[in-house]
Amino acid sequence: MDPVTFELIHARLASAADEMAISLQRAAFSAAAREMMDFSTAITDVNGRTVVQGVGLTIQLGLIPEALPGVIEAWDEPWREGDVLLLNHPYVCGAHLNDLMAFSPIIVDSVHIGFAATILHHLDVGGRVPGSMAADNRQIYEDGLMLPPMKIVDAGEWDSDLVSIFRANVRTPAENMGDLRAQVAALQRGENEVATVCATWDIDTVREFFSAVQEYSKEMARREVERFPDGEYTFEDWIDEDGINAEPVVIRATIRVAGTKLSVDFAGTADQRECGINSPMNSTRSITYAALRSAMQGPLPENSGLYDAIEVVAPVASIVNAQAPVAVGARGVTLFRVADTLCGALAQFAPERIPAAGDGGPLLLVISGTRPDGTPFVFLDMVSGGFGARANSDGLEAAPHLGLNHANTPVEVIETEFPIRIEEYGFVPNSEGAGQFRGSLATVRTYTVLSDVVCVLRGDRHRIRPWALAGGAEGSPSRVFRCRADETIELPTKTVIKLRAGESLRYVSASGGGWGNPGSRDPAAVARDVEDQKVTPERAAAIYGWSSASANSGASMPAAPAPHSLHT
Amino acid sequence: MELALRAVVEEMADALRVQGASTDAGELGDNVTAVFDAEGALVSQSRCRPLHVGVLRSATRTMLDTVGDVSAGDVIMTNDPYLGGASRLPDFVMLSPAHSAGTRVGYVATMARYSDVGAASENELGAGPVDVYAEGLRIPPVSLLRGGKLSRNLERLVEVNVRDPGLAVSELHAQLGAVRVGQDRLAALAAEVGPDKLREVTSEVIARSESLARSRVATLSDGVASFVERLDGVELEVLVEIDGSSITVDLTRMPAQLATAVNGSATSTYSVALAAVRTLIGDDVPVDEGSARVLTVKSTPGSVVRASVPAATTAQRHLHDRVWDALLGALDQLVPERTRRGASKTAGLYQDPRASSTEQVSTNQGSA
Repeated sequence: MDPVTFELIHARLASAADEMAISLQRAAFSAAAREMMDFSTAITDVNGRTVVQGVGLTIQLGLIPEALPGVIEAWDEPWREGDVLLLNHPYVCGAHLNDLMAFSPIIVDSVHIGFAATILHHLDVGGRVPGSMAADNRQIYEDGLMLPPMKIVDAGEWDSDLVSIFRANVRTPAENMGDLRAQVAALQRGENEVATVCATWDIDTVREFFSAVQEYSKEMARREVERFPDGEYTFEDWIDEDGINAEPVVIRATIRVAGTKLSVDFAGTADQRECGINSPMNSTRSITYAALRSAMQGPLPENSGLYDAIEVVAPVASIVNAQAPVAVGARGVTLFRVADTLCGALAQFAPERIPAAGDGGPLLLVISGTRPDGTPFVFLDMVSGGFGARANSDGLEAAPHLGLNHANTPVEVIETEFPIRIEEYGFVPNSEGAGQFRGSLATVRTYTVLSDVVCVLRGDRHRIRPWALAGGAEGSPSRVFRCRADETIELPTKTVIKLRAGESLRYVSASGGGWGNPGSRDPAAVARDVEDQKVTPERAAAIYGWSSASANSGASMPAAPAPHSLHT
Repeated sequence: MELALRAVVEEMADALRVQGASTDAGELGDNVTAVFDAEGALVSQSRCRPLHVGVLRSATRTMLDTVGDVSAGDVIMTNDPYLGGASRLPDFVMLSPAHSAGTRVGYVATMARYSDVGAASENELGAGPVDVYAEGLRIPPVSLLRGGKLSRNLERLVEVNVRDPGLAVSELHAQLGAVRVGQDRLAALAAEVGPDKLREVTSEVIARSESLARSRVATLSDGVASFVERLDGVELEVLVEIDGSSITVDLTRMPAQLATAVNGSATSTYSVALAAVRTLIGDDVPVDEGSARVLTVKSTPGSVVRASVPAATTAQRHLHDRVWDALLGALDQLVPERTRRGASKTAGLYQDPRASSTEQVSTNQGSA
């Protein structure tokens, strides 16, 4: 295929996938989908292998080409225009129950050329707790409603029985149905866009492009791998606890580079447990692709070709290759740590590309109760700290973990839609993992609930701190507090609690680890941090050897507030 | 003819017992089957546990109200205590019309207790769930069969959401088998005597048993009595009134639904009230629309005996044991010589891993 045609089709299809994402976001009902963008979109070939993917979550994007081929192969009915298949079965799809995958055949001039696919995190899918993601669920049946692959729309006709069952099994039927319809709208957008591309060129050329772009990515990925030094790189990281048992859970990854061959082996990782943090293999693959891609350079289209270049193996029935019937609702905790572990291994041979450990994934918080008008609500928030420091710059502040691309939920949206008041949202001064380049500051967010609620918390990096690189300091740990009128109680990071109206929940994220010796930090960078009140002059002096006399602006600075000392 | 109709429901029940793999619906007899006339009035019902006696009458009314007309070849399935009129999630109800020569000649229905519907703990009788979403798979009235064709989607949905898929599917098919047997027998009966004759007979069956039941109630002296029972400190007050040939069970003084799993559904509470009243009118009075007409149950939506979404109902038997005691206590005041008292309660212990206390579970083996 000539490179000009290749590029033109690629640009058109890539924007088609992004337009699917934008349609989805605009049409979605839940604040989680609209504001945090907890969804993904892709266009695949007829075998379910990804051709292009839209902006989305790295945890989800790699799932599509892992799950789709098997589902398509097992599906024994003919595909018709207007069909939509829906599933969330973790041991088929590989996500948790909240992530509903909807996909539809792309049929142009009666030729079935591929599929449009979306995954969207639904606010609640029933189960033991609101939000459906408790770390202390033991079996998948406790997580909520499981959907095997089923046609929710049959040639344009919605299956009213399935819709009524879906609605009856979720705590937020209006949001779920709005979000599901948004998924279907995004699929239609994708189908239409591909049809337009086919009209500009022709079906055969577009199909030729599908395989050409996969080949291209595979080849480019191999060239990248070839530049990595051959060897075995092993790293271990830990999850604080699984939500039921107190001992840390080890994730161990070995990256092997041999010529153009790149493989990851999770041998030595903890066995699966009777709790909710288990990850099905497809999710583990998805995050692995994202982590390894981050070590590769330059324009490299993400599609199944890229994924083909990466081999992933994990012990069966380990926490990263969970087998039924263990629960998987809180698998994110494990996936974030898998990414951190892989980054630790990658840093051994691609140090210029890999930051120190960041917040270790957001706190996933569900608050559920009843509004003053009597309607029930489920509020989902994900609060991010930031990145660890890199070999040439500070860690990104308030940025989502590598496993996610989500945005934050604006305070105004929360306070408008839910009986919740945000008391504070900001950075925590002096919380950075120090270094020549420092890690991000911790983020703090405090929620006051205005009605009696149930809170489901799913966090980590409370005991085992974000690691540093090249002699930097570790990041600070995450902490959660329950604040009442006269007392403040520290909570475990994975728990289910009830709060009374007027009580508050205060979350302080972990911060990013540092890179390099703090004594080598550029004084101008220290001065900037002092000026921004990110670091107090006292700490700047103690950790970075900074003196206000050496900075001409320092003398006029007011003392930075340091309300929350995090380093113990 | 009346015997033939009774044979239909007993044959359905046998089919359910023989085909069902689960001990609950099979050997333990946790099931009931019934035949309704073409308008949905209960004509005949299989022998069953007292607490199931009113379930199919109540559930059928709710299902027909919800789905409207049911076409030939359709089987409606539900376990939804709210939209479907089921007792609680483990109790699956199926309803289907029987047709003869293109005319609907009646409905057949079955209820069977499934051994697992997913949910928060291995044994769904735990005291843990606090809302219906935590109790497992909830199925509003849907067409398991449409035009005679089994919905593969619904079958698979049940399959993946329960801990023993093989058992659940066997229960599903046993129930379908019972429905099929009932349809065939009822249709054959209609074909033999003609739909008009069948209609005449069913109307007479209902009329006769109404008059028998009313004559029994009429012998009782009129009066009003109330009785208060307690469930974990919650007061449960019932008011029973005998007025001529009618009995009213007034449960409107019951407290609001609770944040535990002991809430009763409209159907199960009705069934308990009917069972209590039947201790007065006698077991020889057939269970059908006619005899049921002597009883009016009043209750308030959102109360503990007639819970609304999202109340959990799985452990409702604890409530109903107390409601039953309260009803017999009230009846005892009105008709001291006729009521039967004293029922043993506890047949098993179940320890919920999440609950701090041990939950006692009745399997209703009390002797009257």
